[in-house]
Amino acid sequence: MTERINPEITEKIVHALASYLKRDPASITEAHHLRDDLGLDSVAVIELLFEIEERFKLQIPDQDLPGLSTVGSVAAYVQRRLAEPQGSSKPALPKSKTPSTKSGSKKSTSSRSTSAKSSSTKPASTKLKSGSAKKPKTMSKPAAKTKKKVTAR
Amino acid sequence: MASRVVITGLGVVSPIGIGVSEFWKSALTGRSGITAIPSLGWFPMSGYRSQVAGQVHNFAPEQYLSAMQANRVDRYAQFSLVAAKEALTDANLSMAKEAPHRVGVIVGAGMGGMVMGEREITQLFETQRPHRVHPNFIPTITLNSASGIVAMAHGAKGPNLTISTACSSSAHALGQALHCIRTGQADVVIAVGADASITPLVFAGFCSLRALSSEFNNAPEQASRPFDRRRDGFVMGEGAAALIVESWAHAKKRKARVYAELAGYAATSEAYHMVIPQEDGQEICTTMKIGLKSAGIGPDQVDYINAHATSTTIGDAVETKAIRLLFKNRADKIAVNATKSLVGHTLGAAGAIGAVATTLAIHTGQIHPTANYEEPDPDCRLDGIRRAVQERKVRYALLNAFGFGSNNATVVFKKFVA
Repeated sequence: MTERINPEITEKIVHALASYLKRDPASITEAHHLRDDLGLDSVAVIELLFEIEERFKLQIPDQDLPGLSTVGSVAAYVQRRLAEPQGSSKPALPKSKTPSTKSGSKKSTSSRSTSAKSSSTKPASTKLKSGSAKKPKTMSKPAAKTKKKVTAR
Repeated sequence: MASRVVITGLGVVSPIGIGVSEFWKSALTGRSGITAIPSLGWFPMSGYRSQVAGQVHNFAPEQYLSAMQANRVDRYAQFSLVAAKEALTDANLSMAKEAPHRVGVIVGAGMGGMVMGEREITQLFETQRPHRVHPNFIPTITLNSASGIVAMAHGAKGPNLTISTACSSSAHALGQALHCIRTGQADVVIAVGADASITPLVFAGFCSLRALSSEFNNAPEQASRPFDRRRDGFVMGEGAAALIVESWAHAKKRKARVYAELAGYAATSEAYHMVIPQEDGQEICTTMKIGLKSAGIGPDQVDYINAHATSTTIGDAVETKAIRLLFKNRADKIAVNATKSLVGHTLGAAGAIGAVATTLAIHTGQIHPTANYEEPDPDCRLDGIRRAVQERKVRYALLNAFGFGSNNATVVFKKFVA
């Protein structure tokens, strides 16, 4: 976790978080834990990653979720993914392939804000349980054996 | 003493068979009905994280329904019609002999008419030709289209309701059917659960929510694996089931064969989170406890639980925790299975399909296997989960169903003794 992270990447992630949480970007640091410090529950983390996928033109496989527990680990992950040669993992697909998303993709981003509001007021009540205990080094390998602890019912 | 309520007829449309006999024969083999979905109609699935589902194959509506009936409603309502018809026939219930206002229909559906819904919305946004929106669009996507069309098909003029509580919808349909009869509103209720929304948009939505299994795209039959250590999300399914629920007095009068008795029901809200269950299992435990109380029994009388068990990491572990909380050291003596291991998660149909499996377990003494239960997860370890058929006399059984929106249901079934 000591690799040097491009500050632009961190800044973009912090800004995504700040707008999601409606708080001052300056109050968010790399060391912040998404759940324990920033109060994101597992669905809120998924919403954040949804936003990050869009901003960095990435696709994040389900298997990579467990390692993404702090702002810094998300930034390191994004950096690693951006450095990958095209096609080594799932590259971001062109978004406009399907007829139904053409007009929908922008709208869906803004409509997240309602749920973002409610999750920001909630205490960190849910978990990425085993995920947070895992070391982030396995993150970029989709074959990581960690479980995703996400939506449930 | 509340009036006794019994189940006298069953009908199923499922990924492992259309019709109860095919469904049950297949269920007892423990074979999964999950397959790869390279496309949905013409729509390619290559960009989706999850590419497996429990689809109802070879469903030809015209085989069961008139063209008029079939055209008027979406796939989920067609499933409902077919399941309801089978259940009525199975119950040997002739509507000609019934007072129409004493027969109700209660349908549980989570998503409703999404096949047509997606098609029409896409077309309107693409073409911007509002006059080309199909005249039948509104009646089709209106969520009570299934309960309406089932009543029309059979002239059932009693209470006609639709319950939409996501994945617990049809457990509530069954529970409300019980109440409806106990409170004297009807003699018979056709209780149905149905959903058919393996559609590009809904499927994408569940993928985005990271709720679906994505690690078994190359081995679809292994993807739905409740309680197993390698489970990684649920698998979307589609289907319907119908149960004829009637008062014992009414069933006795018409000399109906009784499969099982409906003994109790609990409906609760965790008031906690849209999609995540409260992790200590207390709320689910309380739901089951209320169900037992409504049946007038204690935890020591339960022999079998048809678990909600969707194959998500949190969900199965929390349900296990709740079972341990309630049944304590008896937890390992109870047979537990997951119908979703066979058919995937059929959303609004899940409760009703599970109810058919529960009813047949009581009736036949056979509890179907839980497919893909290969390596027990320590978080979900219960001795009563098996990959093989369990032969067992079941006196009381529970059916659990939990839905998005923090919604829980437990239905209690009882071996029928006249």
